[in-house]
Amino acid sequence: MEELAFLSLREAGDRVRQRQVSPVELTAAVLARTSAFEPQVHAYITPLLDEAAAAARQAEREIMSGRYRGPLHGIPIALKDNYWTAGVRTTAGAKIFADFTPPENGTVVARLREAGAIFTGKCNMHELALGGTTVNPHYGTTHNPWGLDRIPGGSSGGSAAATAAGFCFAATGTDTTGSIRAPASYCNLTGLKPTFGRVSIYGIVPLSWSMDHAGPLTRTVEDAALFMNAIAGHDPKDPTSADVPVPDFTAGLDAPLRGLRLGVPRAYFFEPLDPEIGAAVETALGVLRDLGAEVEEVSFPSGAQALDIYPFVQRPEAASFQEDYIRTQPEDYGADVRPSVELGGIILAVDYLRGQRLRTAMRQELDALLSRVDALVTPSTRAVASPIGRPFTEVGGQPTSGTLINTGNTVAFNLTGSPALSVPCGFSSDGLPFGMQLAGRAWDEATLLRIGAAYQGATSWHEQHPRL
Amino acid sequence: MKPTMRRRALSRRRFLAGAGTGAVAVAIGAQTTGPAGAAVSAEADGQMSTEVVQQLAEYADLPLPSGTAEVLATQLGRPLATFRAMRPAGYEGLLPAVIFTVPAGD
Repeated sequence: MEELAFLSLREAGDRVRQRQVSPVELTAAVLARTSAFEPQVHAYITPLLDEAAAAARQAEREIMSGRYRGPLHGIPIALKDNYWTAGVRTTAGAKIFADFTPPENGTVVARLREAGAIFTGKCNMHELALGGTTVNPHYGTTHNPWGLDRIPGGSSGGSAAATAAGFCFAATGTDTTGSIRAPASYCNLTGLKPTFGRVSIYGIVPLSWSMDHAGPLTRTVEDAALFMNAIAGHDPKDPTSADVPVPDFTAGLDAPLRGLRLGVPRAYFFEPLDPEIGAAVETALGVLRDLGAEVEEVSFPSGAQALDIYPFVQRPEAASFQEDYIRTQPEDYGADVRPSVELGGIILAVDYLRGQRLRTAMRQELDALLSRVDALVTPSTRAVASPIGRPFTEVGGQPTSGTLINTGNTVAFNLTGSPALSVPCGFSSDGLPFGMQLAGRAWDEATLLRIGAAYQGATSWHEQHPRL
Repeated sequence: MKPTMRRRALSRRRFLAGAGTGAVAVAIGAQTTGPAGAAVSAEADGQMSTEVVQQLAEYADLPLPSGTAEVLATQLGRPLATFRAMRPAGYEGLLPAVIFTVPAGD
């Protein structure tokens, strides 16, 4: 059963397609692990175990009758609890939405359902996606399967924990400052933040309209590509959704890296940094060189300013969405989230617009940089997952903040809307995983997936699973 | 007259008069006396007074609990000064990343 639960999504899909294993068996395998370990991990706010079992039987009937839908058919997948699910409450990790039951599925959920995915539950998250620990005062704390005393990261912490623990084969996440990539890094997963507009955010509880991205947390790059094939594409319901061609994201995954140019922006993105992560990323760069890529030093100065810019965009947008709730139910917010929303309420419009103008400058600089190299390579996070309730205050001997550790390397690509991928690239001496980030040109997720797939073909970090 | 928790009168025009230059805080400070005004003048150095935050919250109709204004003043002061100092080459010509568009076909 355990072996089944830790198959990659692609392997599980292949076995279903070939009728070597049924959706009922796959689902039973992940539900068995959920029953055994969910009390320790607490990945879910609303588990859907009975519903998943019923959906698995339905998928099995469809497949046996010749109505096979594709690689996600019959595959158990978990949903972050800010994705609207018709008839199933969607809390966004917030008390203010404790009783919110959406009238319809969001677009991603609808597309996953159409692809035949089985939903195992709604995952815990940092309240309103406004934080990076998934220590949630309303729905409990999610524990990292790689170290139960550690955070799984956030805000998509439940999604990452569920996937890492073998409660599902993949999960949805959202990423406004790094909320897919940081949990992926902390839980030894692959996490893709697509280009802004590539995946619809219709039917996702907003945090920050201009910075929110939807994407997958998976075990492998190939799984992320399969997941993207199901969810990407224009959505008329979402005004931020782009009507651009959608490639087959699995095409070209096995293409060689020869001729690709990778830029390494060491200034800022590698300082401060856990020395073990620094050494591992250097080793990873060597692997990429061996695979044929050219690696060169580059400079991305405005990326280093992203942490100073984003609050003046994200917080006012959050405060705007939360406007009525923060005024009428302020006591229903968690102690860390409430001041963040309140802060957004007092930022002046002119500063918000300054932030949006500075984003333009940042994107122009990144566009110029990415005309010379095909992708940037950085550590995903500056440290491993911190102990629950005890955030790191220094890294590599330098004082720092949880925000810098979690999102210092990721948020620039939310501001630019660029695609960015985190792949596992090693473990600390105490057994905690971390990732490497690849960031690239708008609409060119394919190149990032190609690099990530080549790297995973040459390494085995992503094949490691936690022992609970 | 009884004291009230409601915000003090502050016209939107006056509030916005110096926006983006740090003078907004001065405009608010001019409504007050003593410590607020003194702290406002230090805002350009990365300090923001609790009183200014309290007044901004009142203007925004946000009921801040006791102690929060001080926390927000700390969170906002220096980052705001850093942020407002950013002026990359060509800033004057930059459009905001989010602009209004009319979808094709409308």
